[in-house]
Amino acid sequence: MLAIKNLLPFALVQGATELANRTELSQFLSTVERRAYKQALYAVRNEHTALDIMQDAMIKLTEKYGGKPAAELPLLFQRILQNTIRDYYRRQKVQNARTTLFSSFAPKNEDVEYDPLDNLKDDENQSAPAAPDESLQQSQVIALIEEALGKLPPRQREAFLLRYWEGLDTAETATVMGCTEGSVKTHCSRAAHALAASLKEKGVDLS
Amino acid sequence: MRNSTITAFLLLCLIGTPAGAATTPWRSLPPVQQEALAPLSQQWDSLPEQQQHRLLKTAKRYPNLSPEQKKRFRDRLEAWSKLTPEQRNAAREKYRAFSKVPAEKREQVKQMIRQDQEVKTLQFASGVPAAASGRD
Amino acid sequence: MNTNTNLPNNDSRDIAAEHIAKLLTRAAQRLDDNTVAALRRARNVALERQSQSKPVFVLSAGHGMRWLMPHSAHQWVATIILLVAILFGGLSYWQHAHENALARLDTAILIDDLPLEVFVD
Repeated sequence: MLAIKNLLPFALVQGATELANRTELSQFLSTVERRAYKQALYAVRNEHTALDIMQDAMIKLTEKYGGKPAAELPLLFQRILQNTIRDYYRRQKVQNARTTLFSSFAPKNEDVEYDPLDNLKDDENQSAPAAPDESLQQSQVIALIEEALGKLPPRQREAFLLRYWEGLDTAETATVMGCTEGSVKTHCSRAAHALAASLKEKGVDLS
Repeated sequence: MRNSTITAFLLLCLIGTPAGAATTPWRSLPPVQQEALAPLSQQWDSLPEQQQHRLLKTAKRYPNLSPEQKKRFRDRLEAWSKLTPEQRNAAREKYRAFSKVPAEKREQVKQMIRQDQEVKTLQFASGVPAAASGRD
Repeated sequence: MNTNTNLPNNDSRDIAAEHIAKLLTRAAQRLDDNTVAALRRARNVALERQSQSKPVFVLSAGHGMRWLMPHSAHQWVATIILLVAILFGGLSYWQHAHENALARLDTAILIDDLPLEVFVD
């Protein structure tokens, strides 16, 4: 009897906090969703896939962590987002392996896995260094940055975006990425170096 | 798999306890219970399990009764056990209702009932029908 | 918290990184309407999912009590078993109490100073 009597006000309070949580969640998602979408887009380079990843990540957040205090949401959401992106990579890899298996009778020109770093090097070799042009429009610069970002190895891009764009510190980035702070630093510095080099070639100097 | 085993076990435990085992033979009853239920010693082994169970519970308080109460208990036990379950239920209802009546009124009713009973016993003993026994 | 001091021209690279981050933010603000709408839809779907799973939490979950809630199918099964066990336990206890009350009543009837016939029709 006593238990049931006590449960009622408890349930009411609980209902109220759930409601508060919902507006909090909604606000939180609306502030981070564009950047998060961009992160996914840089990673998978396909708008539909990026939107799918966003939908998955948002549902995971609301379903599993809907009751978490607002302060914990940013890091949680980043972790979910990065995991969802990684899941996508994993599935992609399986799919690629299957395609490779079926096309193994065809003559192989490039049997190595796609490596963004190779592409970077190729660009280096093929395109002549563009002359520095101060009049480049901002949107063009952005396009160049996005292109360069897309060519980074996944872990480097992840570290760079979390650290410099999302403003996480080294420890937080390490938590989200599930690696040591040391490798976060390595990934970050390599990414920054590669980006700067890639942009410099196109005549963009941001430093 | 493991869960279903646990469920089955729990259910068995829970259902198993209150239902108890099969009927209890008269000889296996402890002396105290044999004394309380002595009037039923003949038919005991043929009583259904549930009734045995109920009677054993009823006899539980027997050792604590006064000699007079013990006598009443034993005197009425056979008649009680011969009633149908419906009759027993009706009797319980009546008793419960009667015990809710205020003590003073209950005493009056008891008095009346006792007198009535005495009259009946007397009539029975003398063999005179009620209508013919004029009260003078 | 920029502590990669083991690398040369670290500062200029950090400035570049900051600059890049600023431009990326601008890019994120300039998403086309279709994408913005799609994101809003996704958000609403997600929030809808939360309110669907809400009733489950209403009675027994608070921030401090969430760990009490089952999180997996396994735990749900265990919880249901526990509830069934409690139900059965309660039921058999009630039955036990009821039988005892009846037995007490029977004894009372058998030893009452009024004869049995008074109560039996």
